[in-house]
Amino acid sequence: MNNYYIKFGSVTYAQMAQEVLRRNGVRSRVGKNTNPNRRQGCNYALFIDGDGQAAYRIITNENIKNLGLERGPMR
Amino acid sequence: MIYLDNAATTSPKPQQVILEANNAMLTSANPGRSGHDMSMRAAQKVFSVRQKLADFFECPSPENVVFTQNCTHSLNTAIRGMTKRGDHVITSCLEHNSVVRVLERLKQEGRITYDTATVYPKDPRKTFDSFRSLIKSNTAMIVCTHASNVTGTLLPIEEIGRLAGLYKLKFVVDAAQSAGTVPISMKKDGISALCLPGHKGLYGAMGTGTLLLAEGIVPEPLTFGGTGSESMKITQPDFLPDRLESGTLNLPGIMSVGAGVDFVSETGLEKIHEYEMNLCDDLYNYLYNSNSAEVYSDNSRKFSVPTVAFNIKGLHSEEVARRLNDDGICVRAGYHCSYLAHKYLGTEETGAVRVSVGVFNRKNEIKKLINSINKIEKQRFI
Repeated sequence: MNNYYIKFGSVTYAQMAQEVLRRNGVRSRVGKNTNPNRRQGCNYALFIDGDGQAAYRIITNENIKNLGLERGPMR
Repeated sequence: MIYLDNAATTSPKPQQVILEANNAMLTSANPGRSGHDMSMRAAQKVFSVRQKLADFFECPSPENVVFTQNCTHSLNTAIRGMTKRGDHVITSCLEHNSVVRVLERLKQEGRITYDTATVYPKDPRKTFDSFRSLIKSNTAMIVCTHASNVTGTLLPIEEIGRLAGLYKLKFVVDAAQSAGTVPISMKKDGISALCLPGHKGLYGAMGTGTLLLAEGIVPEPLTFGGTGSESMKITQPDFLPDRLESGTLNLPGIMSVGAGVDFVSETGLEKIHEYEMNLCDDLYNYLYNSNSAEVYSDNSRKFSVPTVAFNIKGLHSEEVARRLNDDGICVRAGYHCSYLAHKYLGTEETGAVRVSVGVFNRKNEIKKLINSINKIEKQRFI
């Protein structure tokens, strides 16, 4: 099953985003992105439990620096 | 031993601080590098300490909380990283070498000029005017201590912050002696960069420091290297905190600082300050009334942190400290890495004896100190 995850270049930003989502009632989990592209290098994924697009809107509204929303297999 | 050198580092550390650091040593992995559960748990712990510090000092956001090696490292990063060629900087006459040496080095490099404002203890208006009188067209920064590490004198940083805001200057505060002892709000005090150690008023381990930055303040880094982010770029990240945190973080140290913040919050900042000032009262009164002592500090709650600097006439401060050590009492004497302060006090010949209390000191210890000082005074020419 494919779920949404938001990519972050820094673990701190992934954690900030997780905190913001938690305050908005959205559960998520921070992990390392196991499919990084060469250009972006290592990055962190915030795996969303629920509506990924809604979660992404919350994050972008808060201006939290991120590398985009992706869809991939649930780990 | 009676430990009265808390301005150097607080001792002992609270039990919860020791346990937290110990736990980190036993279970930790490197935070913000690998993706395994141990690394992620470590990263989460670091983040929670960033959040605690951001809340404690009213810093805009956890990512604006940067971990450093100590307050000196924070000050070097802030002063060097936030000035450019041609800038003029204002500082105070009570600064520690961790401010003055950076400014002097930048001046010798031909990058900046700087002036020192006079501090008038217990007269914030005069101190404010002194800072304001030095502002020039190219003044870019005010950097000053919040509390003198020699005398304990508090500077009016809220007023100075307002001055900096008025003239759109960066405002860097050295909170080495005030963080964890008196309230500090980056928001209220208009602070651009707040530099503090983890191991003094916050009761964390030595080798820890923090640099808290206001919104939009992103200094140039002092060190470059691996940050666990943007690894495929060979340039340093341009975002905080990664930009200023190259290399492995001191996880046990950071955890100890988090526990220390909890300890201070649970005990109560105002309660700590009042308790410690109370301890100093008897000492201050004794010295003030003594014919053979000269005291350079003040015991007013509004204008001081709990540090008392003094001399015994006829004796070098180091000799006094040696005799106190013989009596099992630990103080610091000499120049306290603060040439400017001793120049201001006129104590360049003798230095001064500095007593700095902490939350674990007790009244009977101050009594013993007073008895020892009394003995030294009586025997000073022996």
